[in-house]
Amino acid sequence: MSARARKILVGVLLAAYFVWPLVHHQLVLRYRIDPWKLAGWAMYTTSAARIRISLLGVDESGRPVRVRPRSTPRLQTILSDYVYRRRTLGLFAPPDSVVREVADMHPDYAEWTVTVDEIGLNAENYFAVIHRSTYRYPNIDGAPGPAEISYPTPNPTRADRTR
Amino acid sequence: MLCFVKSEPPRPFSFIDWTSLSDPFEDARFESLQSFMLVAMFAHCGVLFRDDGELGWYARAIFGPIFLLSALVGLRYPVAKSRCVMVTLGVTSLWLVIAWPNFANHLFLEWSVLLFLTLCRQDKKLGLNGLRWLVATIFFYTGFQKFLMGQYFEGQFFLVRVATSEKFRVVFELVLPEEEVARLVEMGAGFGTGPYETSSTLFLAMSNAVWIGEMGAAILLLFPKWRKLALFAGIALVLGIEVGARELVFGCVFTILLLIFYQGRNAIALWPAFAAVQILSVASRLLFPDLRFN
Repeated sequence: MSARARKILVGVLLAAYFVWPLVHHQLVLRYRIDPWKLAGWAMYTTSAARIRISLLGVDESGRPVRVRPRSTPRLQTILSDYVYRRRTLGLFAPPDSVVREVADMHPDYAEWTVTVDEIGLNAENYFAVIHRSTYRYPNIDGAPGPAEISYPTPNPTRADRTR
Repeated sequence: MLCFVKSEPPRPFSFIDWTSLSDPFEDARFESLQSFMLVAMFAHCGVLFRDDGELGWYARAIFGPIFLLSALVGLRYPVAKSRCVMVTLGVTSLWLVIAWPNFANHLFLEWSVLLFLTLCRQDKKLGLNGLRWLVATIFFYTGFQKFLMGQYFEGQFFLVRVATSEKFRVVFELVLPEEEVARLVEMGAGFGTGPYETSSTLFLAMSNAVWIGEMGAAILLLFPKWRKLALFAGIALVLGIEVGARELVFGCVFTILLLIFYQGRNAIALWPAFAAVQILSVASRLLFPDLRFN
């Protein structure tokens, strides 16, 4: 590699290192990725996110039925893997693996709903649900169809509020 | 008699050279940093040796032996050092891929340093100038991200830590009223608890000094006139953070990286002392898991 090419490459790398944390911050705010991860240098900026998941099915009569996350050891393992991935990747990690398992357990439900709550410090400095995303999967021939996703934000964090 | 002296053409100035040091120690600095990183990667990998998961297996079976061999060969045979750094970069890249997306920023920092050391092995001055920019950028953003997330203004982040972590509690109970510490411990960062606020002015000053100090030191590091002050402040901040966070492997890497700004002497010739601290902290973790220094 010529000296000039090397210098240009170093310059491009440094520019990328300078721009990425700004992009990362937007991903944290908009897509709920973990500030501690993915090289945004935002470790120790917030308490590590806690994820709470609720599973709901709608039976043939249209009645909502709660599915216990600890119904089976397999579902528990899938949920635990998902929570680990979700904490880092935020909204980039939809709960498809979880809903596939629930659909296998209850193939007769008309739809399956997964609610993912992110628990953290809110603007009043209380631990509360600071972000909620709801994924509704219709039953299409016994398998989950494409998810309908909604992101109501019940209790914004300080970073959300000052955005 | 005419005498022609062949000299190197002057380097055209660019923004990367803004961070250059005007002393004859750049080659020695570069080589010291190479040596340190060879040992540092083995030390970092050692943290995983007792891990039961997939990464623990990789650390014991692949990363650890290769890092150790690279360090031994690189330190014993200086001519092979650059190649050993290259091998270490390759293995660290594999580590990043396997750990994706949960790799620690610490690992990414080490990978970045190895990348610059490999890319610029034939132009050490450029490599060090690039690394100085990298260190200042990272240091600046660690403060700026704290400012953006806003959990240091009223001390919330540290208050939650006091509520949940013994390591932080022993430090901050020196400046927090006893009843506030008791209240925080009782809340324990559980759902619905709060508010995580304090009346201690000293605590609030310490909390805000962190992000202001990180951003300020990073900017001042770029100006030769202020560099020594910024270096002192930066190392003091890292030491202060280590008292609470106790991540000695990272603390040593970042202190060594700050020392590449030290003008007039190859300050990172001290690298064996830092490498020893890293190895000891990892050994203590492996031998006495309750004594966490990393």
